[in-house]
Amino acid sequence: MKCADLAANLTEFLEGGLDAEAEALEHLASCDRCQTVLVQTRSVLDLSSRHGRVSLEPAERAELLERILDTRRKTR
Amino acid sequence: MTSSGLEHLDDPLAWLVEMFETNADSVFNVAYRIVWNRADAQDVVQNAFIKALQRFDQLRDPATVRGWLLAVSYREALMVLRRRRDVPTDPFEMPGSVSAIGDPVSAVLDGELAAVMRAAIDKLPDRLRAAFVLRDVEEMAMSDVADTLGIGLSAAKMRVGRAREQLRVELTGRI
Repeated sequence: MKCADLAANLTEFLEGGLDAEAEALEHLASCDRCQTVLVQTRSVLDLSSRHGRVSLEPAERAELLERILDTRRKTR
Repeated sequence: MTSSGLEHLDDPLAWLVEMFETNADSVFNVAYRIVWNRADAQDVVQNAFIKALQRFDQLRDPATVRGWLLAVSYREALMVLRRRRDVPTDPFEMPGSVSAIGDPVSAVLDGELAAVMRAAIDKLPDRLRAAFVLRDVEEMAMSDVADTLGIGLSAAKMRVGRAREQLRVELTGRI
C-alpha cells in the first residue's frame, strides 16, 4: 500500500471496515507522513466530539421545553 | 414493555421530557448548522419533539428516537431554508454567541480551542458540514447518516472523509 492508497481509504480505515487493514498498518509502520496524517485526523475527531456542538443556552432550553409542553396541552 | 428499566417512560410526557433533556442539544446543533439562526433552529427543535410525541408508540425506545430526531431535524431545517429565500450561508453572519458544552471549568480552559474547532466546522461547504456534524459531532452511524442525507453509503463516507481532511488541513498548526 502507498500513501495515496491509504489517503483514499482513510475513512474506511478509521471506521474499521477496510479489507486491506493489514496492508494499511504495515504501511503506517514505515511512513512518518501517513502516521502524522492519521494522528492529526484522530485529533480532529476527538475535538469534534468534545467541542463541535453548538448547544442551547440554559434559558433557551427551559423556554423551549415549556413551549413544547404548552403545545401538547393545547392540542389535547 | 418488559423489564427493560424503561417502565418509567411509559408516560408520554415523562418520556418527552427525558428525551428532550438527552437529545435537545444534538437536535438543535444539527438544525443550527443548516439554518444559521438560533430562533429558527429552536423552532425546528420544537417541531421535531412534537412530532416525536405524536409517534410515541413507535419511538418510545430511547435507542431509536435519537436517530429519528436528528433525521427530522435535518429535514425540517432544510424546509426552513426552502421557505426562506435570503439564506445567510456565510458563517461570519452567524451569531457570535455559542455556548460551550461540558463543565464550566473545562469550558473556560478549552474555550479558545472549542471556538477554533467550531469556526472550522462552520467553514465547511454545506454538504460536507451536514455529513460531518451527523457522523463526527453527533456520532450517528454512517449508514444512518446516508439514510438521513438521502444518499448512498459510499457517498456519505466520501463526504465525511472530505470534511475530515479539510478540517485536518485547516486546523494543522492551530491545535
